[in-house]
Amino acid sequence: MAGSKIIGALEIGTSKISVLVAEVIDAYRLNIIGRATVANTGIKKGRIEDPRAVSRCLHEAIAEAEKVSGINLKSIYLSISGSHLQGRKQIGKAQISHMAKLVTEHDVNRANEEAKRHAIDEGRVYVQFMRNPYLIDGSPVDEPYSCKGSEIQANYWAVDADEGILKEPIQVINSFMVKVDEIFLGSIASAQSVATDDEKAAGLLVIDIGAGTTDYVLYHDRYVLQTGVFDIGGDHITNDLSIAFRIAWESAENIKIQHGKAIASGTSSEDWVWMMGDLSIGDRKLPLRSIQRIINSRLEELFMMVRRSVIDVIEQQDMQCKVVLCGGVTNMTSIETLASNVLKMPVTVGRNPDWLIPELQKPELSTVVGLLQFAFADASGDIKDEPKSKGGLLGKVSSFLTR
Amino acid sequence: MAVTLQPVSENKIGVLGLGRLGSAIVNQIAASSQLDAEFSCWDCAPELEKAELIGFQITHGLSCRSQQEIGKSIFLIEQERVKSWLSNKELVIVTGSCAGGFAGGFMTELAQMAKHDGVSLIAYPVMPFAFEGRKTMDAAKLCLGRLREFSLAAATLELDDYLERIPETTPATEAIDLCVADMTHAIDTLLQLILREGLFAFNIEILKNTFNLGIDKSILLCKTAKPEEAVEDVVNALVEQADAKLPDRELTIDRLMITVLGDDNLSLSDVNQINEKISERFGNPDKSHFGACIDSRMSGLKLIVYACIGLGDQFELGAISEEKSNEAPVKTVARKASRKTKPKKRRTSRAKIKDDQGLFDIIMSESNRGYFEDTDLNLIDGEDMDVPTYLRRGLRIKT
Repeated sequence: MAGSKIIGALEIGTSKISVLVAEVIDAYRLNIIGRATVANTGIKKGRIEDPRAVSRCLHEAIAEAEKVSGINLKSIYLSISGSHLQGRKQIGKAQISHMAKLVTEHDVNRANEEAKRHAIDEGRVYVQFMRNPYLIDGSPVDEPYSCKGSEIQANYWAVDADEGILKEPIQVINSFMVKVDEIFLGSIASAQSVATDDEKAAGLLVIDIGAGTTDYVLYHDRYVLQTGVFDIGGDHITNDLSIAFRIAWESAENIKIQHGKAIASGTSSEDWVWMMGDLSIGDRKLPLRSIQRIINSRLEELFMMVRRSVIDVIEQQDMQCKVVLCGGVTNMTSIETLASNVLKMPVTVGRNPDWLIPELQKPELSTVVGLLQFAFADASGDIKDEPKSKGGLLGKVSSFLTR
Repeated sequence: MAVTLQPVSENKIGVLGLGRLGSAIVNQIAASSQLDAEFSCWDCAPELEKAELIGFQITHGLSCRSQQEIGKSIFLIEQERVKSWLSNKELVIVTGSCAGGFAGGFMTELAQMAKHDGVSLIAYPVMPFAFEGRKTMDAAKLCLGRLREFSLAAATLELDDYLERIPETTPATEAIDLCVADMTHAIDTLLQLILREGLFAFNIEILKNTFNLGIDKSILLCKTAKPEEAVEDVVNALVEQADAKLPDRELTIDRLMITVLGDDNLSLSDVNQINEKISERFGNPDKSHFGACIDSRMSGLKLIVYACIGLGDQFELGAISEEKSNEAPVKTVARKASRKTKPKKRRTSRAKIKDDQGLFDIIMSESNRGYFEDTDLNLIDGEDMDVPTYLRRGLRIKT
């Protein structure tokens, strides 16, 4: 490993904790040397409810990844989620000072600073600034330097978070002597894994439906136009089934996985499934159509919420948007059909890069794989691939840790 | 400060009463009003009140039994009818019981559709008695939260306040009658103000605050004069009236709501001039709300000034919160004082009886949060997303 660099990615999800450890050989070669996925308890709707349980699971995951890779993990990239994350568009303007009205670095910096200077509520911190095209006298440009005009406007999609909630996972990770290098929104990390730059350029909505939360990000021209999070996920489907049939959570989870379907069609009212299937005491028949209708109503509502959130921006930009789904819930049968019906856009289920082993290509691992890609890009120095969504949060994270 | 120059026309206002309570209110207004607004009453189980039957396919003429999901379902099947009713309206005033199965469920969906269709909606929901139980109250609060989300203003009356005004031995229906009378008066006054005084030219969000204040805590002035004179006159009169009404000088003028009515000669610069002068006199422009309206029937400029007094910093304009009431603190203080003097033994005993009998069991209760029981409410558009969708949508599931 001489001359190589070790990178790590960590996702503390509602249902599982995933860790990837990799060795960066050079700018083009990455060797994944350790991985671990441990079922998580103690988190509901993306929020830590039981720090001890989370700490225990995290310890298990990190220990396993270290054991497999044979190294001590020093730092990781972390993904965050939850409805405490709030995004908004922020703009900053600066008059062009050059005699010949050519944009200089100084003008760009002033516009950037202005855009990032907006005050946020007490108890909240900025976690990510994602740059959108500059406007020179109202005309969009990617690279403003040496353009001619009288005013430059910097545009950012800024995301801020509740400081207390953001600290929770960081403190747990720090307790294992592991440093958090960077923080990325879960949706951005997932998109990095399941979407190509060309798709992001053409117009893309990535929806990551996890166990506790649903994150989405909208791209156009490779820029992040909007992000958002709903505290709704696969656990809600399980809960709906559990309440409807008055069955245990575990039974409801099994039914969801084995018989769940996003569209209630192709079944008759006479179709039944066995709750446990072993005909033991307590086993009982459940109507398949009801299961599907419960799941369908929840997912339909979720997609409708996403559509309501992004439709204004999509129409404003007049973009032909595609949708890529990822996250554990996308294992549900017919989910892309339902999503397409509700969102009224072409929908596919995202796949992690082909160069990964099959175990890492599962849609529920998109976030951690995307994080690893970001870590790889930074470590290899090849940051040109994702200049616009680069978070630059190290300073902020460090300041958390020292508090 | 928003300046709008669009008065609303009389025949584009719809007043809708939902359920038995709402129908009673709107029928009373319709009987006495001389205005050319469209008055409608809809109910899924019309009995004594004159109301149109709606949602027959679902309830077969029976009531929703406090289940707001049924009210929502009725809305779903009657969407076209509602859409057609809304289509020629600029402003809709809707009233009904927040805790009612039909009115509570239907009203929130109506508000959402009105917002989507660009129709301004002001809601006058009635909050239930506390003795109807926590679940009923929670459902009413959820309903109110959604109404506040989607409507321009939601001014509530609480039945509990009326319970205190009647003798303990009197049936609670008398409290409802008193509430109906007050709500009738409030809506009628609002209609008069909108149509006769051009109040709608305001940023109408302020109505919520105006009508939550109580008449003794606000001042209404009307002055007719040229702009340069009118401002001084109004300012002086306002100070005098404030002194007369509120000898307690710890209470200060905290918020101004001003509308300017004028004939065709009224220009934007006139409006701005008045705005500036009043802002100079009363300070913080953040707490002033300014509107203007041209009415060709007017001759000369007319100023109407509302001054809200003694609200203090606790009052957040337009704040939407599930947890805390959106009422003005002055009103809350008054209520607290009256509660102190009148302990509510009777309400407690009724609450016990009702809760024991389980008469007010509704679907959207906390017990339906299951796995998420101990977590924070997951409110989006006034709905708790942790409650199963099929329950909130009223889907019939064979289990």
